[in-house]
Amino acid sequence: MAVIPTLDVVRRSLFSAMGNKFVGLENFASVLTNESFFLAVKNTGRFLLLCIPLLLTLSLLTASLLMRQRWCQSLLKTTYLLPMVIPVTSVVLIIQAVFSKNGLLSALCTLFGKTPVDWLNSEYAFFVLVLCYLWKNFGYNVVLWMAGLSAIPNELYEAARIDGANEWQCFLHITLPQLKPTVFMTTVLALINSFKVFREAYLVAGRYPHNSIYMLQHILSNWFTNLDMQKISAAAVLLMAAICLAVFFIARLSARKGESL
Amino acid sequence: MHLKKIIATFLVFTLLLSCYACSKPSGQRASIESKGRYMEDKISLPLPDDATQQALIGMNATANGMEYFTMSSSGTEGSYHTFYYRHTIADDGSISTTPEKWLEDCAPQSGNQLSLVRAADGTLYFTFGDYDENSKAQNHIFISRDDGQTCFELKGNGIGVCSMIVALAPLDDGRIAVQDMDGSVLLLDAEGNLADELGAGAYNGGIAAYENKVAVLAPSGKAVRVYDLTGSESVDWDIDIPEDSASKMEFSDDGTLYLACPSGLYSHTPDGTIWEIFVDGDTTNLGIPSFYISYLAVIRGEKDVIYVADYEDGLYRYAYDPEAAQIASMELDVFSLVENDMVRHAMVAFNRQRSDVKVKYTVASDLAGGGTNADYIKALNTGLLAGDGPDVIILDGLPLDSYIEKGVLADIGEVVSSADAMLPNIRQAYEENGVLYAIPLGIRLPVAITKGDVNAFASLSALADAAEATTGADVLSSIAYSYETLSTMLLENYGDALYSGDDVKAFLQGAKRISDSIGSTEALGEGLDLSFQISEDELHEMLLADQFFPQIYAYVLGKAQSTIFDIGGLDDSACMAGTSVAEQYGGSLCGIGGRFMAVGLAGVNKASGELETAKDFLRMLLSLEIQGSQSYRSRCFPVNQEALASLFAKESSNCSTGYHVDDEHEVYGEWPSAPMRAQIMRMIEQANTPMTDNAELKGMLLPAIVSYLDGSRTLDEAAEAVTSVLSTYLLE
Repeated sequence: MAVIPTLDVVRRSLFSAMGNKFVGLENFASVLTNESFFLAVKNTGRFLLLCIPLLLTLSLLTASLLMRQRWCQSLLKTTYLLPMVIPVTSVVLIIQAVFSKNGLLSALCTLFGKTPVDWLNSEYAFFVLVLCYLWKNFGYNVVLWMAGLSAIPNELYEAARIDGANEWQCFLHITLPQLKPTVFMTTVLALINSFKVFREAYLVAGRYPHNSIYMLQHILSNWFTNLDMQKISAAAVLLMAAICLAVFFIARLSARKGESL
Repeated sequence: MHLKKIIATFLVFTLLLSCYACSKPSGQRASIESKGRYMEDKISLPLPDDATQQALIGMNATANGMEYFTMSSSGTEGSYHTFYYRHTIADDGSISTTPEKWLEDCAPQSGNQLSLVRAADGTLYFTFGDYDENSKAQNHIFISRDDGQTCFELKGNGIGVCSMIVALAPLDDGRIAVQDMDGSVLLLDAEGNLADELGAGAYNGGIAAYENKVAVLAPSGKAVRVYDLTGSESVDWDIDIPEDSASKMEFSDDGTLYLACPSGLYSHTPDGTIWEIFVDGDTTNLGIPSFYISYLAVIRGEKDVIYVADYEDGLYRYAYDPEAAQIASMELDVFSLVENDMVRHAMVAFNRQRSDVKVKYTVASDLAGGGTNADYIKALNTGLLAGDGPDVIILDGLPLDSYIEKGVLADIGEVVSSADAMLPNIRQAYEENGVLYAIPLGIRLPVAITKGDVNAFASLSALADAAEATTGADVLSSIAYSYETLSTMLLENYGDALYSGDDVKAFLQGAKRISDSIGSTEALGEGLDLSFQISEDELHEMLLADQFFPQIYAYVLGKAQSTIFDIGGLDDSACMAGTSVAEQYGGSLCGIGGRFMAVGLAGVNKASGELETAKDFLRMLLSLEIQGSQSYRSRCFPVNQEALASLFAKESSNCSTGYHVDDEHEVYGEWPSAPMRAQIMRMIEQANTPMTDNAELKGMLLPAIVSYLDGSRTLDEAAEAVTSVLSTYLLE
């Protein structure tokens, strides 16, 4: 069922906006020379490069620590999942209450004699979005890692310890190689979830947010409002290619990493 | 293997079937040849001699035809006299008018909620409210059993129980059902004593009585409640009446209940269980938002004839036309983001002309779901891309340039040429290389009144020069212009170059020069010394709601040399007050560099399955009939030359506005004088530059501009912030 719409997008990327005139690669040229598109690509790339490694690392470390902590583990797991079930509008309200110019954080700044900052309309907006993404997805990733960690046989650790391996060596030579399938799945899910952060960005700052959080979804949404279907299609084809490449690269990397380890 | 082949064949068949179903052109709609349906006609009542206007106070079906009771007043303030008339329209269409002296005796000074109802036995009931010497509201019910020869007033105790009677329905046995302003439904005996309290109803839903039944609209507005007076029970006949709208109801001789509301005319037989809609509100005046249903009457016949009156004495007759198409064979879709009154009027007129076409008007902002404009535009775009877009598009707030570039809009040059003559300057302003894709249905004008040089308003730099060169009163007043309101006004009137990304610094510098010269601050209304006591918050709210008042205040008291505002009609409050200020306190009226604001920018979807019909509808929108009947709600000047000339030739005393400035100064505005009208007409004929209305971009640019005006950003920083927004926006 996904093939026909995908093929239609590819077709539309080669035609004019209303789909009645073949224009070859003109739409791709138009997208690739569009400065706003590059700003969006740059921001999205920066966001992915910062968020995904940070999320994976932090959640893996937390999951490893939690695995040792048997007490209240299931309660903690449930607690970690709570951000996933909070409606996005509530999250946005919280963001605005904390980070707007008259919000909590600015009030704290004023309390300490600093000038209030409009966090959502400055370069800081990017980091607010990063924080929001980490907060929302951290618990979910911890649970995913824990599922992977619990599948590792305990005998492997016991044998390694008998052979004199320390904690770090166990982690490096047993945990990581055994998590190979989980790494791939968690990374791909983190990548997919990273695109969902647009909802927060859109609801917090609208169609034209501060330049630092102007993402690919913003430009695609705005193009659609302007009926630039040809540009959206071309950008979607480019994006699809980039994601396929990234997934392929991650798959190869996790496979190679597993082999070398 | 065999099973796989069967499944594959089935899937291919399903796919082909889906493709066929999807490819069926929307224009091919089933044609139904059945004929006969109710059609609407407007009825004009003659204006009595010496009366300039009249108000309808009653409408009843009689054996002699329909009778209408009207009221008109004459005289000067303090010595008004009220006259009453009865107009009877016989079946052959002849109209006879007689004065009703007995009503003058009953209510010589007029009153509130006047209503005259005839009972089945011919008795006339006249009710109204007024105030006694202690300013206490009181009701009156007069009865005439000899058709107005004599009358007497009911004095029963039930009359004083009502807060203010808004509707009355006499029963066959002499009892009277009344509804008051609070919605309470009471039953009075023949002497006016309280006989029963029936319950509550919606106060604007009307009341009707038949034999021993009384019908009112339930307080929820979602049912008609019929009380059976022989017992104590009532029954609800469910009907979905649009919220906050007026409706009226009336029983016919056979007990069928008729109901008129914005969604149409309905009937409900005594033994029936459902309402039958026989006139669609969308295709008649009933559906026009400004139409306020005030009376309903029914004349029995083979097919009953229904009469409906609206608050502003518009009378309409709904009669069965055996030749009209029963069901429209074609549907024409009209889309706009916000409600447009002219489209509503055109729908009615078009339906009269083409009963085979049903015009469906979609106002995106009225749709349930509470989306943003961007959401509605995306939904529209999806339809356009799928080839299922509306036939006529009102482009206000839509990406016009993008639609033109993508080839969404058809060339309407020929349509406009064949329509009634329209202003050539407005047409030229929208022509691109001789092709016309969109045309406004009306325009608004930004204007200034100044005691200085009228050329100062031609450009931002000229205004800045004038602001700096002025000695004495400032060009504009800081009372009316805080940093934010000044930036907004400048963006609206001079922001076109900025929106296109040109000369950001020049705009900022111009704004700063004006702001510094007039001494703007963060606060709005600073220095406004009002004689009435209101809190700061209330003042701020008031000033934001009516930004014209502080300008008038400053101008009248000599604190400013000029005011800038926009006008959209001669009876527009700003227009009447502005022209009056210019005449009372001196000053010249001038335009702002030939700019104008388009209202109701209309275009036709090139891919429409009903292209010719869509063009006909556009012709209707531009016709003298529609352009000439623009109501106050339209808030724009017509673009039709004849309609405009007729409007400007008119004299009117029906409208006025006023501002209390201080104890010594007042502004009393009326219909503009002939010289002022001539000047406004000249400005309309010279307007050649459409203003950009981009609320979203304006909202994004304002903080950066304000931050420069208040000094929290340097010129370079503010320019960078503005450019940053513009670059993302423009380069998309």
